[in-house]
Amino acid sequence: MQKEHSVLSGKLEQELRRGVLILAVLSQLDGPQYGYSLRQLLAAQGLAIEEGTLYPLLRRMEEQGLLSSEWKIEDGPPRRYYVRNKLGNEVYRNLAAGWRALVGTIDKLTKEAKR
Amino acid sequence: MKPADVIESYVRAVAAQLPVKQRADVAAELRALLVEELAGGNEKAALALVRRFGQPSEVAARYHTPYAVVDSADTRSFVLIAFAGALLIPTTNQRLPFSINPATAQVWLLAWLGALVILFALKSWFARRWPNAFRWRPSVPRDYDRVRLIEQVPLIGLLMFYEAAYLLPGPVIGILSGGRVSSELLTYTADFASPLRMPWFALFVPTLVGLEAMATFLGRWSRLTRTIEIMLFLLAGTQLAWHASYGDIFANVQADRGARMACQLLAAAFELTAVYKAYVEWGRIPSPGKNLNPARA
Repeated sequence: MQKEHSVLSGKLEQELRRGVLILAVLSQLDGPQYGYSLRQLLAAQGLAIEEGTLYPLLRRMEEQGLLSSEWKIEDGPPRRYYVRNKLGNEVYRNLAAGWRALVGTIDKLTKEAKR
Repeated sequence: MKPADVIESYVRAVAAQLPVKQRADVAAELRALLVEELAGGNEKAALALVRRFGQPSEVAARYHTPYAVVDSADTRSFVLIAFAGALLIPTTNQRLPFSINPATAQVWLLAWLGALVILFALKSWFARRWPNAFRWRPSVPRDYDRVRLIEQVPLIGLLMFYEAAYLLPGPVIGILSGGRVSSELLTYTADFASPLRMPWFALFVPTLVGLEAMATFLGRWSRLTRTIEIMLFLLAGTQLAWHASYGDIFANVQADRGARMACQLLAAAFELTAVYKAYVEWGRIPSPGKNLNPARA
């Protein structure tokens, strides 16, 4: 029972994190980053993301028009660098504002809710 | 195996499941990222890395927006329609007038499933291309307990006709054919007319007519009357299917074949009606009380 409980909690937490990944990624891409460096950057700030999740996500965000990318060679092998574009900047601003409002609301709800 | 081979094998497995125009670019990026993640590790580390990354098919699905041939939202409808259609495929019981051999039945079944897959794939494609094409629109909820005269009166008339034709096949068919079919041809064999075979359907149908008439008079169905109706349809259908597959009905060969064909078709109609009604009953959503539905109060 306890195991099922923790598995369920883990799954729900994963879903919660998945919802904010795009915002987290957008927040770090005001300058060019390639997949590995972005993963390190996010991990260093406390948000560890699995490789198998992050790398495809960058591609999908590019397909959605939020990011621009290009292959570059800078002190190492060729790497694909991603950066927020104009649409990405606008979406990021909206998402960030929405997130702050949501955090305030959820924070209030969870504090008020009876345990 | 060298670590580079593990990574290359993985990269190719992922890329192979991507749209062609994406493959080379994603493969190059994924290769570079995995090599960097591996940071000179050995074969074991390479294997652990790609296992952590995920199954190639799952990873490929994350790289683009995959589509399903049959949308997951349509799976239930697909299964139901597939079963309903399979029920309509003629039986393989060779004693019945309408029967096909098992090999043909298998071909029909596969053809039916194939046609369904194509239809659902087309629907899925339309829905992706024109998202509003299948947009849900409200309709007035149907009250399944309310009796509808427009359905009830023809049903009662039809059942009474079946009863008359069953009890007096000679006169009824004689009148319908304008006298071209002789009443003498339509005389039941002694075996068919015995108490074990003929009378049961003749009892089920008037009982069903009585039930339908009672529901019409009351204006509503109840759970009990609905259940009895399903049972009667099922019993009548089973009886007719038995007639179609067992023994002679008329002594005349042609008349007998015609009667058994009619019995088989009617049996299918009764049985399918029973299955449909049982399904509706099983999945019935209770109606809200008047207080819960002020718009209809």
